[in-house]
Amino acid sequence: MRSEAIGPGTRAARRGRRRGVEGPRPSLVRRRADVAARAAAAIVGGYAVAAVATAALARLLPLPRSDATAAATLFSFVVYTVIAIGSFTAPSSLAAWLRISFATAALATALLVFGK
Amino acid sequence: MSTSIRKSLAWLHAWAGLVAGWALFMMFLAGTASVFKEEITAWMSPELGPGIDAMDALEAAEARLNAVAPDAERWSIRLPSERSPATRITWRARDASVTESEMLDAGSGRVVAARETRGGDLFYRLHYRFEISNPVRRGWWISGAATMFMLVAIMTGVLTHKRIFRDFFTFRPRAATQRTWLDAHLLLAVPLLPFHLMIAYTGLVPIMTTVMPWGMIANYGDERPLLEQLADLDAARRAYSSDRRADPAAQRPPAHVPSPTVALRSIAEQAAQQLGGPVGSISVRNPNDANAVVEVVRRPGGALSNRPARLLFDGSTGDPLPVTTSPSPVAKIQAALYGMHMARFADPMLRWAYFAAGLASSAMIATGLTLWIIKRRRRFTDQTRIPFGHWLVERLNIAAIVGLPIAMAAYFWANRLLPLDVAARAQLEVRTFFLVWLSTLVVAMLRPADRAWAEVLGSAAFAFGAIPLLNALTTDRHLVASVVQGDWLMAGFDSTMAAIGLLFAWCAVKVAGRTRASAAEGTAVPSALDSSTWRSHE
Repeated sequence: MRSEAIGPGTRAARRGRRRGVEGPRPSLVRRRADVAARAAAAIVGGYAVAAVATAALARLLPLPRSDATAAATLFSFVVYTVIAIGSFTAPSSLAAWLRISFATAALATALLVFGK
Repeated sequence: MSTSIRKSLAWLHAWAGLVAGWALFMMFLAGTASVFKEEITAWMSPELGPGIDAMDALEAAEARLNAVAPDAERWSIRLPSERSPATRITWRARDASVTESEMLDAGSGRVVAARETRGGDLFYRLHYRFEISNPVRRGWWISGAATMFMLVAIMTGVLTHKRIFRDFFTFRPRAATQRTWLDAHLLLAVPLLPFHLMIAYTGLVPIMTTVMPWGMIANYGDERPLLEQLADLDAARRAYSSDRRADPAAQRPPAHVPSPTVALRSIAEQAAQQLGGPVGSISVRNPNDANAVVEVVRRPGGALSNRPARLLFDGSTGDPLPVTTSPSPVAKIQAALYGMHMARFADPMLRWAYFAAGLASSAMIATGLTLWIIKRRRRFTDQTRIPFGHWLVERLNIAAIVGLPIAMAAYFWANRLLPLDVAARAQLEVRTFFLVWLSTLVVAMLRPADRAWAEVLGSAAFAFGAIPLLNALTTDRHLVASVVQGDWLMAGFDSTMAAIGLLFAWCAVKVAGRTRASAAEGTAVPSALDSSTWRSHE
């Protein structure tokens, strides 16, 4: 039973596991770096997406201003949870960060273009 | 779902749960105790007896406020109820940043002669802000972060779980230790899943504009740089809350024309009839000013919302003022979510249900933390050296899971045993709480894990079990007297403490039994919580 020591694992390790064979096991340093990158994506990246999503929704929801603010803020924690979990199920930490960057950029654009 | 994703989720569940587990356990246990915050304060103020007339209390409070702060910006009076025998008055002077408060004795209107204590308030502050008061909102960020970990742990726990319906009913107390602990964890987690999810999510609602202020900044912010606004949210918060409050009358500025406010008793009696229930609290904006506004709030009960029915009156004439009775749907949802978390609306039965569910959540977290140790222990059974991280986790588990309850009991002991006239008495009680908690960590670190578990569980059994006796020896409101007089508040507290003591005694006997059994077999298991049987089942 080595699986629980593996963690989310790197892309190569996952591909190996998916095929049912244990591929070459990545080094401890690489595994630790992968976990750290994913944790940073989940915690920092997740907050960034949730924050921009909240600001954009608060401006864009077709509700009175105070209601839009409350609704957007109530929804933000759902966004945060989904992004945090997604950071660990993404094929690689790079993919997790790319998704987060894309989501943040798209939401920030919406906020800046339509939210004035 | 592919196996590799499920494995990632299981990994995330274990680690997110571990990282925030101790903080979450404290938040849940302190939050569970806070369900009975008023009752705890009442037990810790035994000088205050039951049976006080609320309207007499109101008159006394009004007289006291007129004496100490006749031209305050705002007065608030929380009237006594069957949950809390004291009247609490708070006031904020004009241009002051702090709100002052006092407990009043209803009969005399004097500041109460009860012992100085923070009562249940300590657990409440621990629950949502870790007893951090400077800067005031740092604790909110910590509890907000821990709650996000909780949401991640709950969702990953659900997603990894293949047999969620079968495990609803599975409990194998005689199976291998790891399986028993896993069954217990699932049995606490799965049937109560709606409660866990509800309480974690709604816990974010009261602090949401602090931890996620970006919607508020987007709509109510100013021209300052974002980080500067984040550091000082007061302006945006004021703009937001004045936009949300639909009753312009409630925010009337002072006229700066002195005019005595009409007697609150007559307003309250009139309001109680219109509200269809007892008055819980009364506040006066601009007291003794021509623009005084009196707000009468019904005692929470029956309605889920955290904003119970209220009425506004002109303070200088006593005439009713218009109140917006229909908040927007979003505001209603938010108030309901907030209200569900605070449970102020709950009648005694539902309050006990919240208490039981809170204990179950705490136990779910405790079993999760224990599982983390048990699952990894198999790696070290053949070795004598246990890695430092593993050693530390088990010690912190002991100090969190049993040390915290012991500290809570010690807080009650301090309340009864500290001299009544000692300086800064309330603070000494709190200090006792933290010192005892710290000392359980020291015990856990100095002793072998299995002995430490048995010893702290035994101490907890004594600390809780002896509380009714302590109460009987130090006050005249002992359990028998309370039952005879029908004083269910005191009787309920004493018997709950005895029940908790018995529960800990049962745990202590179980753990000690396992330790002895494994010692007899000659197997050197690192902890009594495990037995040597796990191998045969793997």
